[in-house]
Amino acid sequence: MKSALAYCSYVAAVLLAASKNTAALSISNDRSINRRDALIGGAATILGAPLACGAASTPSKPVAVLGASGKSVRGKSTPSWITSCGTHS
Amino acid sequence: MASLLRRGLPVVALTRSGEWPPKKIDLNAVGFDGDATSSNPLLTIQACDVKNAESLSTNLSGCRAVVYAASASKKGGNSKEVDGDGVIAAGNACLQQNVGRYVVISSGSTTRPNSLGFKFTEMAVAGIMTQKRRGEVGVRDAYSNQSGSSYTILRPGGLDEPKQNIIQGPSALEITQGDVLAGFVSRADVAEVAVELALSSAPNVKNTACELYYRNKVVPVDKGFKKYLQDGADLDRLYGKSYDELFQGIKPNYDYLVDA
Repeated sequence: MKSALAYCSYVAAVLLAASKNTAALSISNDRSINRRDALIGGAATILGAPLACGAASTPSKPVAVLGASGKSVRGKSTPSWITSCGTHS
Repeated sequence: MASLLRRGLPVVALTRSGEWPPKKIDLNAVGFDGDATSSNPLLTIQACDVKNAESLSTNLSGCRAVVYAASASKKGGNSKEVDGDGVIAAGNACLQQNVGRYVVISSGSTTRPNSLGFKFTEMAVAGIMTQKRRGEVGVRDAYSNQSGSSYTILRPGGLDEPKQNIIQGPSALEITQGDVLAGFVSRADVAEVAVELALSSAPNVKNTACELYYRNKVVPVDKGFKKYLQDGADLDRLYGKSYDELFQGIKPNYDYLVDA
């Protein structure tokens, strides 16, 4: 009974993850989910991208920085318990 | 900005005021001692408000790549406007203008609402982590059917300044994917990596997210992730002597690890 319940929970987890567009769900022999990596889009979205669209192919075009006036190197301290918040616009 | 100028690349500084550099900035900290005025032919300084879609579209036109480094501030807008809506709007503008690469500087633990890092940061700047995550998801969705342009979400660890406000470079850094490990890193190194990602045409860095921190200061994002620090853990911890080497193992189309 306990095993059946565990298996049902496992199946539910797989279905839930799949419904959230996650992928790479692998069922191993011990019925554990090895790597449940939330993949996005699909490999097809990056394969076959024309080189001309790549940033490196157009070196004369500029790179824009949004939020360029941020405190990047002003030396202001961020409390160690605060994770990064980007720079300030 | 300094990271790009030091590489001799044309760059557009987009600020709300249309002014750059800020008065207190120390460009020498990131190794740039050149001309930081509009007389530098490589430098264009423009006013741009991330809350204004038209302003974004106009200013991003003709760019090869865009780095989003803005965040909420008293004068610039709240976290919803800048860290959520602004991130998505800039992504849409990049797509509209066929900008090849879009790099978003987000934050570690955006996908971990139960972690201390998320909770404290969310409290410190009201709702910022929720909005950053909303921005990430919005960009991911906007690029889901695009083949020509791509994005990378960079999630730095805690910003460790002024203790380490220098560029330590790739050999000091660690990258992981999954939003399970974090650490500390200086803004100077975040800028370097953001620029290198923006310039990269490697297929594996496209449409994905990764975390960045110094390899000597690694902590789990949540206490349940301590297992990923152990030898043999099922997590790729990436290192390299060059940025290419550091980026080599990044997986495309990745968001976060759905842990057991």
